[in-house]
This record gives sequence, C-alpha cells and structure tokens, in this order.
Amino acid sequence: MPDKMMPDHWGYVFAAYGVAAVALVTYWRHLVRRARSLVARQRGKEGKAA
Amino acid sequence: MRTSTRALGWLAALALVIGLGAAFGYAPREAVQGNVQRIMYLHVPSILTAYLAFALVLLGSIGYLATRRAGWDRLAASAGELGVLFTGITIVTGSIWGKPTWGTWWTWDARLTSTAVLFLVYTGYLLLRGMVDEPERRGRYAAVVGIVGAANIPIVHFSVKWWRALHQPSTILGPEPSPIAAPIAAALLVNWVALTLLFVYFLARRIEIARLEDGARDA
Amino acid sequence: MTAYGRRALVVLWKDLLTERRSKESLNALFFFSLLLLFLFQFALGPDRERLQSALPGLLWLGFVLAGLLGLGRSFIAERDNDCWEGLLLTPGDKSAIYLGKLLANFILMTVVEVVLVFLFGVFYNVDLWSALGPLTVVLFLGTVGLSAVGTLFAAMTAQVRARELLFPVLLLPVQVPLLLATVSATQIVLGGQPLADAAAWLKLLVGADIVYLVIGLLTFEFILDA
Repeated sequence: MPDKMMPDHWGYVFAAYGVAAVALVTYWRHLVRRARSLVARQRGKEGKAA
Repeated sequence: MRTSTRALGWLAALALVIGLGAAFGYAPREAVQGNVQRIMYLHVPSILTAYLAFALVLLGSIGYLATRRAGWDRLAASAGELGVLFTGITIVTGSIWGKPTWGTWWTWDARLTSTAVLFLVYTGYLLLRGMVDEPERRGRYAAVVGIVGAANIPIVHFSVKWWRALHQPSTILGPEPSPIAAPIAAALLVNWVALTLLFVYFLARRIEIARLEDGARDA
Repeated sequence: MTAYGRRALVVLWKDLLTERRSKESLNALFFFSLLLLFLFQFALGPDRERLQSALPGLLWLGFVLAGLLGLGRSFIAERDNDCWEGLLLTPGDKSAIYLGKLLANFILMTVVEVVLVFLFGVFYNVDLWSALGPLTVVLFLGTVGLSAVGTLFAAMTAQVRARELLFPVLLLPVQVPLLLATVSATQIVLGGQPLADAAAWLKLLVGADIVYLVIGLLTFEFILDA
C-alpha cells in the first residue's frame, strides 16, 4: 500500500458537491414553481375567457 | 412542460448519477492530492458549462439586435442566468478545493481571478435586465452588455494571465493535474456531458417560462 | 470632411462649449481629484514608502473613480433637457454621436488626469516628470478604453433607474483587465524602464481599445432607439 502523500479531505469533497447540489436543486425548484404559477395563471385566464 | 423537455430532464438525472459513479467509483485516487482532487469532476465541467452559457448569451444578443425577435432575447436572458449560476458554483467549488490543497480559501491566481471577473460582468448583466422594465429596450440594452461581456472574456484571460506571471514566476501546483490518465479523462468527460445535459434541461425550462411570461404580458 | 465627421464634431463642439461655459463637471472633478489625494494618504498612512510603491495603482484608481463620476454624466444633459428625441431624430449614422461624445469624454478625462498626475507629483513627492513621455502613452491608451466603454454604458444607463448604481456596476468589471494592463505598464514606466519593456501590456491595451471602440460604434444606435 503506497503511502498517502496527502490526507483525504472527504469533508471538503462532500462540501463542494453538497453546495453544488443545493444550488442546482434550489434553482430547479425555483424553475418548477415559477412554471407552475404561470401555467395556473394562464389556465385561469382561459377559464374566464371560456 | 413538453415531453421532450421532461425526457431531457430524466436523461440529465441519469447522466448525473453515472457521472457521480465515475467520479467516486471509477476514477482512481489521485497520486498527489488524494481524494480531494475529485472535486475537479464537478469544478471543471461547471466552468465549461458557464462558458457555453455565455456563448449562448452572445448568440442571443447578436440575434436579438439583428432580428428584434423576442426568442433571441429569451435565449440570452435564460443563458445569462444559468451562466451566473454555474460560474458561482465554479468559484465556490474552486475555493473549497483550494483550501486543503493550497491552504487558503482564496488566491488571486489567474484562473480564479478571471472567473471572478466573469461572475461580476454577468451579474451586472442580470442586474441591468432587472432594472429595465420595458421589454424591447431591455432586450437591446442587455444585448449590448452581452456583447461587451463576451468580448471582455479573452481580454480578461490574457491580462490576468500576464499579471500573475509577473507576480508569481513559480507556478503553484494547479488544482487540475494534466488528465493524461485515461480513467481520469473519461470520468471528466462523463461528468462534463452530464452537467451539460442538465444545463440544456434548465435552459429549456427557463426559456419556456420566459415565453409564458411574454405571452401573459401580451395577452 | 464627410457629413459623418461633421456630425461627430458638432456633438464634440457642443459638449466642450457647454462644459467651458458651465465648468460644472470640470470644477467638481478637479475638486474630487484633490479629495482623492487626501483619501489615499489617510487610507495608506504616513509611510511614504508604502504610498510610493502603490503609486501606479493609486493613480489609476483615481482616474477610474473620476471617470465613474465624469463619464456617468455624459448623457445627463440630453436626458434632463428633453434632448433625447433630438438625438434619436439625428439623420444618418448615429454612431457619429457616439464618436463625438467619446471625443468629448476623452478630452475631459485627459484634462482631469493631467491635473491628477500633477497633484500626485506635488503632494506625494514623486518624480513623474522624467517618465512623462512613456507615461503619456500609457495614459492615452488607458483613457481611450475607459472612455469607449464608459460613453457606451453612460448612454445606456441614462435612461435606466438607479443609474448611479448601475453605471459603476457595469463599467468596473469591464475595466478590470484594462486596469491590470495600465497599472502594470505605469509601474514599469515609472520604474525608469523604457517603454519597450511594457510592450505586452501596451499591445493588450491597443487590442482592447480597438475591440471596445468597434463595439461602441456598432452598437450605439441600438441604445438610442427608443
């Protein structure tokens, strides 16, 4: 088993992936919510027009 | 949401899972830096995706000025938003990578500095968009800034590179080892494709939202 | 002289004349420069060495800050006095207006910079005179870039709310590479080295200046459409 030159910093690895995941998921949910509200509003208008 | 968009979303999710597998399972433990180097499989695709986004901003900007069709402006706006998001992720992951490897959260090395300037330029782009209400004028103004921003990228790249070369003749060991090792290159490629797919999915949804907003306003 | 050139000169002449009569911007900018001098001194402390080693950076910081004030006001007169439509109705290539404004701003900035250089030399006891020729070259190239983008963004932000915030926010990131180049070149030049040593930086400045000028000339008309 070769000597590890540098200690593993799994904490940092998970922090990095974690931050990215949070950012991406938050943005995705923001998109979904916005799309839903827009579609709902559009349906509401069509309902009134009908 | 269109079926094609939904399919794209699932494809992106699948690709991300595969990418994670490649980054943590398939790719070997790097000799010099150890496992912390695995951040690269996120950090590098992230900045590449940001560059793609800003290229689309340029495309949308020119397209809008040339044709005045709102579709181009929607592309520019959506891509701009995503570009800032991915640039932010790049900077944060780069910083987290730098702490254990360089001992510091931030350093004014060429790449980090260039990326930070990029972030500032396009955040300004988004701020401008937020401050102009009239859609036609907003599109025009944003397009001009989008073009200036894109032209700025190579200028920033060279200026920062030479600036660092003067102040730091000995190069710090950069976070990315040259990906000669095939497994490392393969894992990088897979993650890059995955993140790009995610980007395209987000872009499609964001443009659709913009289209809905434009429709709601014009109705 | 082409009609285009004439139009540009008319805009230039109008701006210079307005400035000469009111001296509004110029006086305020001179005073601002003086204030900056004190600000820098107080911020960096009494250590003369520290100030002198930071001099190239402080000089350009002063130029950029003055530029933010001076350039940001480029189109205020048109906006406040309801002259915007006048700009829109100008026949022919609207980029002539950009060129005229650009030249006026360039002259304004140059005057302020000359004053700042003089003040720096006097108050910080620095010999700027011996490197005056090379320094002028760097000043010229840097000011062209600053004025080119500044004039373009000033026209844009004139009609936007929170103009005073948005103009610096847009201009400063674009200025960063120019700042790196000009400060580095100024450092080389003030260090007594020949201008040729700064060749790489000067080339970058020339390239950037050309790029920004071309973009300004091509896109200005799109800012004017109302």
